[in-house]
Amino acid sequence: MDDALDEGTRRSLQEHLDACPSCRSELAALQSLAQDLRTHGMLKAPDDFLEKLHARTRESRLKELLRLLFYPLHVKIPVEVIGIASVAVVIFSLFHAVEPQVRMTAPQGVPSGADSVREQVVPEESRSELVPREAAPMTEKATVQAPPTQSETQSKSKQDVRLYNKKEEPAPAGVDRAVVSAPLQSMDVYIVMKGVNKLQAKGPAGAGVQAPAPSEAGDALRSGHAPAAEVAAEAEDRVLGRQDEESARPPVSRADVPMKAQALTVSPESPVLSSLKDVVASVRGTLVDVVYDGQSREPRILTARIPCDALDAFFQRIGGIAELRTPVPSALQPGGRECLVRIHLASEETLQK
Amino acid sequence: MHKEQTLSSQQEDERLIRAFTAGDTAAFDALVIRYKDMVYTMCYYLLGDADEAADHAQETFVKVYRSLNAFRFESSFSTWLYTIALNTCRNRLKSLSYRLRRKTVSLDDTDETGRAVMEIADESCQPNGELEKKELMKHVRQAIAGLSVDHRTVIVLCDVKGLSYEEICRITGLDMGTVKSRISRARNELRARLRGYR
Repeated sequence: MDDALDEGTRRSLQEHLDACPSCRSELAALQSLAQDLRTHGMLKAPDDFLEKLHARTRESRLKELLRLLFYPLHVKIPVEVIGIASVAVVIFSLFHAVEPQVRMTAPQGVPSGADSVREQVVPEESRSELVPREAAPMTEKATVQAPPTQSETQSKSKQDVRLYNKKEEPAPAGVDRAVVSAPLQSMDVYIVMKGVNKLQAKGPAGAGVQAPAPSEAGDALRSGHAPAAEVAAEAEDRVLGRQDEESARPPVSRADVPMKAQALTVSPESPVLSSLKDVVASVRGTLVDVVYDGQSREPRILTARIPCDALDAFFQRIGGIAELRTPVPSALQPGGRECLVRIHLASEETLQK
Repeated sequence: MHKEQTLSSQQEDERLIRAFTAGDTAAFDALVIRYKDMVYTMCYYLLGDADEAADHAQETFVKVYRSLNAFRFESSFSTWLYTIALNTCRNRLKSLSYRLRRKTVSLDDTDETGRAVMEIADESCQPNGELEKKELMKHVRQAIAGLSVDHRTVIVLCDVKGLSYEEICRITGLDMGTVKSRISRARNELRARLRGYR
């Protein structure tokens, strides 16, 4: 019925239809239906079809012109591509947002043992507020560490390498090197810049404010700057009348820190800082953080990532511009790629005290 | 005879298109007048609503107007036009607004199975005494409206417009076997729906 059969098939179908009244009536019904559809199925478009179309084409031309004017580089991007790109951007930004946090939070986890009690000097106005650590954590930039005393320096020789992840497993006595599987190893180095001591005399000496007595130090520790276990251990020592090396240490003047900061005369643009930066850069290291004094706003601690294989060269070059007051750490964990070195800028006077 | 008519029709289409591309906007109007009923009929059977059909038939011609300069005469103009019309209607059928509108269609008119049918305005058959013909057309349209979109498409292209299988293949993008089987099934279903009226 659609003229779709070839001659042979058509002839054989015709022979069948001649002999089969049922199929003949079926075909006739289908042909009748097709004829009805062709005759009555066609519809007439509305009379105003052309006028409305003219209006739409005019509107369309205007829209096209505006589109060309304002979106000359309009490109259709599939939704799937946009989705994949968005996910990639989110993952990339998350990855780069997390890394600095790790860098900043890692030093806070460093265990401070009995031989390395840290005194944190805070501004006078906030010192009176003894709030728990959880309620008012001190930010990294507001933290200023006192330089080590002689006893601290000696005890630190036993801890050349301190690992963030080894809080629960302190290295056994007499072990100089720790070999662990931590991805990033860290160390603290105290240096005195050469030629800086002469400037000490010019500092505001004798501010006269004494460091907190042992009880005050305990308060300071409880004020949120030391782990609770450490505070409890110190309190227990005090009750039992034990005198450890730390308590025998001469009091540290609270004015020391600003005074030392001035003695160092280190500013962000100072030759000292720039020379340290040069040393770090010369061994393919990266300066990741600089901690400034809370009051004098001068740099006190520099944190740098140094490739492990360039560590010897790094300390050699540091020795050229400063006096190392801690033993040069020997080789670290084999296979480690980088280690985190915190360079504490100290003064001669502080170290003697 | 039919092939000669088709050939002359294609030549006329080509002449009008070349005139339009040369700047004669009246040539486009002539093309619209030649094909507006066919496009409207196709949109009508696919979308099942007179307003929707008029709207999307115009949308089809607007698309043709925009892209007629790029027409390469690799197929006949009618095939190209029907392809655009079919795609326009398919997009509309897939759109959320159309589906929501279909859900809110009036249920006042129902067929013998209780299913809602779309009331179709009969523009071509104004009252002229042919009551029987008008009644038959109404039932034919209701029966077509009850088919699936795929069956509606091939029935309209094959039996209402009288296109060949090859043209239907080009317009729908289906292969020959699929087109033949769909036409056969659609006719059988349509005949079953019209059994009480013919």
